[in-house]
Amino acid sequence: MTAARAEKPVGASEHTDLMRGHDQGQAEALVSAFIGLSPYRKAIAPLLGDITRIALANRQVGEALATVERRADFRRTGRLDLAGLGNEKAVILAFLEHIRFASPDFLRSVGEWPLGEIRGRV
Amino acid sequence: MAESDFCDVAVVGTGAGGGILAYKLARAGLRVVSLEHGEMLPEDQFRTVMPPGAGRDFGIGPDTAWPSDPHDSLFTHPLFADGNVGSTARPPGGFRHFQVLAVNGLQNLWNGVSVRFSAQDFETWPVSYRDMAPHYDAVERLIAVCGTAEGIAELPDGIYLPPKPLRPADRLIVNAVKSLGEPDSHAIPNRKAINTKAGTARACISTGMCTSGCPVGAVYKFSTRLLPEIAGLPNYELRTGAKVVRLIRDGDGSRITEVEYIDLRDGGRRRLRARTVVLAAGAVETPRILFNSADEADPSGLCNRQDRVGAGLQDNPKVVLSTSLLRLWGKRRDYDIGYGDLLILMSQAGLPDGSSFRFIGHAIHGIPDVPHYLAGMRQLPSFLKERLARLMFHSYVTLGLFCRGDATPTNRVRRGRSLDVYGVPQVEVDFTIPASSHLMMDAMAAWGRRVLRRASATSIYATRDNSGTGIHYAGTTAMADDPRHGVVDADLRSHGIDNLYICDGGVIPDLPDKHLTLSIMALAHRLAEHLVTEQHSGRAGAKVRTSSVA
Repeated sequence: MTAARAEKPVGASEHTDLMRGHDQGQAEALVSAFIGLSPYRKAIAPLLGDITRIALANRQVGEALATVERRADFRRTGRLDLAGLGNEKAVILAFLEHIRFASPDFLRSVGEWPLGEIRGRV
Repeated sequence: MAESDFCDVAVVGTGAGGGILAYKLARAGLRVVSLEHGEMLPEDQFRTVMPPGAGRDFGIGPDTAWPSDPHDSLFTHPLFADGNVGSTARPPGGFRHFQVLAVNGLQNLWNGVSVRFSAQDFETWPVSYRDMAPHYDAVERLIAVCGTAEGIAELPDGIYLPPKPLRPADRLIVNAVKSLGEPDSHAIPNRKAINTKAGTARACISTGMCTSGCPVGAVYKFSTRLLPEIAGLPNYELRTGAKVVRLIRDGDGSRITEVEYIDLRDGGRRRLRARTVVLAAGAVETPRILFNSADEADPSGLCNRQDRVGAGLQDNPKVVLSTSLLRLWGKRRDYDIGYGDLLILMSQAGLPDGSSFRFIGHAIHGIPDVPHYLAGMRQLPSFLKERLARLMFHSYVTLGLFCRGDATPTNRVRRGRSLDVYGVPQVEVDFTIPASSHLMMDAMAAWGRRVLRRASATSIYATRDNSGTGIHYAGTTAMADDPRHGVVDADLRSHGIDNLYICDGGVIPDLPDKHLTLSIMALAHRLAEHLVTEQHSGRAGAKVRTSSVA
């Protein structure tokens, strides 16, 4: 059976359109600049592709990225700094911190990666 | 069976009550149609589409927000219906009504806790524990419940599979409860509708949590356990994408003749004729259907001449306390994490007026792969967070404690002014937390803190709520012998309409502390036996004109 046609398909994720006009490369450049401001940048930089996709799909983070991008004129300057994050700083850094502590690298360090395969092992 | 315009029994909803009813009635040979608003979720819904925890996208969805309350994380699941399609418009700040519009309903995200109400819990009902006991037995056999017999009068024993073994965190809690030296305080293995028999189909794989959907279907739900046994029967049909709008009566108003629904595949209105109709759509949606079935004879809705429909809405007041247990710092996991909440906790506490009340709950210990614990580390520098997070990773315990609801007359579901996206009137919920509930939540929180401290708690993060997040909705179509006090009788037949029954949380007149789902299923089992007897005796169809029906 299929999802009800009159409704959003169950489980469908919606891409925020706040980043409209970006190609994948531009979006990754922006997110990469944000990652560069995170204290966890070394650990999460290899996850750039996933982080970009998830950031754009999340309403709160997508909106924060777009706001900071406009404010910092990132498309022209290609630069961001912590001071320029303004009110969006807390959301963006918390998002990146969440990624770090839910990442395979961190979960491996506490003996819990891969997920779902060793939880029942005694 | 092929799509029919007539059946013996139309069952509205496929959740706890609707699933058991459909199974029992279809197996007895009755022509049954289940009408379900939603669709069947894909088989891999909780394995690949929405796996629990950090299994996909680090546990971040479109609506994940920062900062967030760790205790609110259960309530942001994308399967919960929003105000466009739900029974209520879900206005901000109001009572939070949760529903899942899919086959199985809320049981898609069911935690599986399956406890019997006690003889004392039934004292205000028109049925007794003795009436219900055989139906509890039958349901436990049908759905498979793990647990242990404990001989506690307030929590009657049932028929159980072996539970998963307790873990170090559980043992700390058990010892802490024992150390209180209170005869009414217990910490026992949880009773959950989970297949714990390793090596069997759909056996529990120990995800450490059940409330985000089980990837293998180890937690009971209709679609994985009972539906496969009836899906191929010529006398059973599951009609999905069928949003029930209203019930239509015959000329003298004493019987329902048709169920009107919207076929969500094309938006058209359809009607299904039935000898008997059972509403099992939940304690908020069922009143909505009754209100929307208002006609000239009953302009305030069906079964509502006494203004009882929607009145007395209850949900269990709860407190939630989370901590990190110092004695587990630095420990690596060398045990089976199981299904997360392996313990039931029970106790009773006193109130300022000298009375006492019972409460129940569970102790939860899972794998914090989605790092909700970061909210408690907000002030720490990042280098320290990493060290502490590793040190404390396997030390987190949460207690969730629930007490009885209070059937306050002003807490109710009533006709609303908003329409859903299909143009169907929604309902509104008036709900104020009773003063007595605040006092009970105070007392439960104090007990929980005592237990956690004895188990080596560090900082305790506590929240409380009674605004819908118990998701144990009850009381809105209460069972009562006297029509002035309820909407259905002891057989769950509506007062005033011969062939209309209700079987969901709404029929529970007084919600005890205990989780209500198993009792809804036992009531459904009992109702099914009643309907089979009735149909076989010919009483149900006596006034239904069936001459043109195939």
